[in-house]
Amino acid sequence: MSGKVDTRVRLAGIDLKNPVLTASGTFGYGTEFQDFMDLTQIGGFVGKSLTRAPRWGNPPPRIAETPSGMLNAISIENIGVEAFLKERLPALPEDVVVIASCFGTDPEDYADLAAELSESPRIAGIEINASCPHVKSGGIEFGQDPNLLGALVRRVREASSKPFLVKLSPNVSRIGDMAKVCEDSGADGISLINTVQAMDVDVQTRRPVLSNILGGLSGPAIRPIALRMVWQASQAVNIPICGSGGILTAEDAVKFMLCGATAVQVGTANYTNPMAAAEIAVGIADYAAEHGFPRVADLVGALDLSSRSA
Amino acid sequence: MKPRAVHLADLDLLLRLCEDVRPGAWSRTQLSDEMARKDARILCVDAAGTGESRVLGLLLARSVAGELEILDVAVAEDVRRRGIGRSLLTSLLARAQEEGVTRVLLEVRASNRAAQSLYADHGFVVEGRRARYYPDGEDAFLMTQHTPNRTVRPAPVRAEAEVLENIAEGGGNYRLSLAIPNWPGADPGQFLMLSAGAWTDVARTDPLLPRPMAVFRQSPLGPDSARVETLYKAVGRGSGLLAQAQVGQRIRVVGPLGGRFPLPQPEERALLVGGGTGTASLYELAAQAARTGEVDVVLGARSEQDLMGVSLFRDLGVRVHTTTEDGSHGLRGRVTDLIPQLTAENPQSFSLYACGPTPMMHACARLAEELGVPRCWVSLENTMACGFGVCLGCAVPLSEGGFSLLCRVGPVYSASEISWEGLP
Ligand SMILES: Cc1cc2nc3c(=O)[nH]c(=O)nc-3n(C[C@H](O)[C@H](O)[C@H](O)COP(=O)(O)OP(=O)(O)OC[C@H]3O[C@@H](n4cnc5c(N)ncnc54)[C@H](O)[C@@H]3O)c2cc1C
Ligand SMILES: Cc1cc2nc3c(=O)[nH]c(=O)nc-3n(C[C@H](O)[C@H](O)[C@H](O)COP(=O)(O)O)c2cc1C
Ligand code: FES
Repeated sequence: MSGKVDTRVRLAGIDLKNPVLTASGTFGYGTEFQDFMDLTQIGGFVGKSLTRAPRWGNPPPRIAETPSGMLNAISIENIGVEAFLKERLPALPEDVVVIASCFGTDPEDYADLAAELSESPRIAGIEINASCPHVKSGGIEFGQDPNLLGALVRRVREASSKPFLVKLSPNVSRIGDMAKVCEDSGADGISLINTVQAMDVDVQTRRPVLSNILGGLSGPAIRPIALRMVWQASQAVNIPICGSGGILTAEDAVKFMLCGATAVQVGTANYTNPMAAAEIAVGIADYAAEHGFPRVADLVGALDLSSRSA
Repeated sequence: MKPRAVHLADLDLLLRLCEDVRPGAWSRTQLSDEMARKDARILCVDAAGTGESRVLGLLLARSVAGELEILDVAVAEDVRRRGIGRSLLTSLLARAQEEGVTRVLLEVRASNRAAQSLYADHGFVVEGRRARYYPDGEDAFLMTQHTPNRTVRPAPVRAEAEVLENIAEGGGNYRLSLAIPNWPGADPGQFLMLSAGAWTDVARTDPLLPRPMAVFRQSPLGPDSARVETLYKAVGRGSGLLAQAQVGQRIRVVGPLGGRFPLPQPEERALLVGGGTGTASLYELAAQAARTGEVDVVLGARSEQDLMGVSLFRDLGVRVHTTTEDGSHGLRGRVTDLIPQLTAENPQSFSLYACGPTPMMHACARLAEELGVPRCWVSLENTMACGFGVCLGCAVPLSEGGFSLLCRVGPVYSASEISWEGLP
């Protein structure tokens, strides 16, 4: 049925065969999923956030399950940009769209990484992680201060020859303002949301469940918050939005598209079902077919607001 | 002190290290040619954070046709015995595993005991001797990695299993038998991620994440399916839902995952120690080890009803000893009470394998060291989200610093690799 539907979307200048990407930090470096699926079934994937040098994350416990979600405080543990470019990227099939996520301590650091990643012909675009909620410095500071964010985005714009998205933190009071700063400073698109800062406590031991005390909440628990933020951001900017937060099914993904997301990212669902992203891509096309949309791109922003007021 | 890939900008520093450690072994052109090779796998540890611009350790290897050959490992004189060589090696082996390398090999000087024992800790065995291999006439040992990737790991599947049996064995313990299609076969020590229900059911959110359970036993069922059993205790929501599963119900399965227990070496005797549900990980190991050598199994639990699988182990023809804390079965006491007497004759001839609660495994590890049992393997547990190496949630701290992904590099570790104090 979905055979007739045109599933292609164009996100910030990157052509995707369907609107489903996988979220940074939930899809490894791509190769880990090849046991379970053909990576070309998804629109593309965003790799684990990369830093200049390899780095370790936090001591355990790093994760904990919470109602309809999970907390994590991995911190940006990664193999470093060098090893990614040299060892991991060549191991991926040629026709997989790769978006590299990068994380820095200051705008120069981000710009250097973006410049280096831009040079690889295998990388279609870059995602600037301006929102990791549990790294001591960098990341979230940029995502929470509009002036810092603007300076960062301008610097990355100068350094990068590839399209780039800025991944925003939900831990702000006015998401529309942050989105607008990105647009005005030259970003090609925005991704949201990253995890919601949160914590949990073990009453038996009376200790926080995570070694880092605070972590980031992901999964279905944050989906309504994510939808709200995607909606608000889409009202504030014209650049494309990549929506994420608790997507488990095709219907969840469609909701994000209706609220204005051009593409979506599947995160925590990859852990519960290693084929989730591929199945969601098929399900979105089925939905479009069933509801008379010739192209899945027609779902973007197609929210029916008649008899509703904001 | 995390090993990283090298880049051309490091060349001067790398050369300086080689010159200091092994003058003449590598020329500038040799080194830069090596770095340019596509099959080169080169890692270094630099003095990052000390303000000093210097490379402290270097490991050169080549990956050819599924085999990885370690060409050289150099660590600066003044920073030896700080685990730099070890971390280079662990890092390389972790990457090798991800690349699907089937064999790792190297030559080591016959006199270099320190290096040989480092490799032995990582499961390498001496496979041969190369007479007068070095320019000065010394022999080399050819060592190859014995574990965990001596064989290619079975590629995991995402499958929908059918419950064949789910038997309550008392005390909240269950034996679940599943029919799993397209089962590639598990190695001893591997595990599954399980969650109750079909893949097409409404996505489950309570609990959201699947639960890890060891493969207890497996046997062929039809042309493309297998009967796979797990032993588990219902302790919370996820295992509680499994306990309610009826015959014929569907279970979502991802697996087999993780690495294997290495088999004992020829002439070695295997002593397997299981506590509580940890027993589950040891059955396939006992079955395999019993084919080539002597096996003793010690199973311990709080009381008789928590002792699982005793008769099944006996059926393998291995010696089974039991301990219970309340004395309801076997010796009254703990598993560790039996280890000294079982190994008393010749502790050097044993390999100890332990799986159970962390304090029990730690006690086994300390005992092995005290008694002079050369090898102690443990199968650890940690909270997991994915089970296949992408969430990075299951990291366990290593004694040399840094972390290891329990679901991918583990769950089986050599006891000395682990920073026991840092476990959650
Ligand atoms: C590689 C591996 C293999 C395993 N094999 C087996 C097996 O063969 N049989 C078996 O019974 N169990 C096994 N476990 C442990 C099992 O995964 C946990 O008992 C299970 O995840 C608990 O889930 P739950 O939802 O029932 O409990 P939760 O509601 O998550 O927790 C309930 C209680 O169980 C404790 N708990 C949670 N996770 C663990 C854990 N990983 N280890 C110990 N206690 C835990 C919690 O602290 C809590 O007190 C294994 C774990 C790992 C990592
Ligand atoms: C374990 C874990 C690690 C993550 N690591 C990163 C990361 O390195 N960089 C990043 O931008 N986002 C990271 N995220 C956030 C996800 O990419 C995603 O934005 C978030 O989890 C919300 O989507 P979800 O609910 O579908 O998981 C991580 C999330 C989880 C759960
Ligand atoms: S459980 Fe996800 S990386 Fe190990």
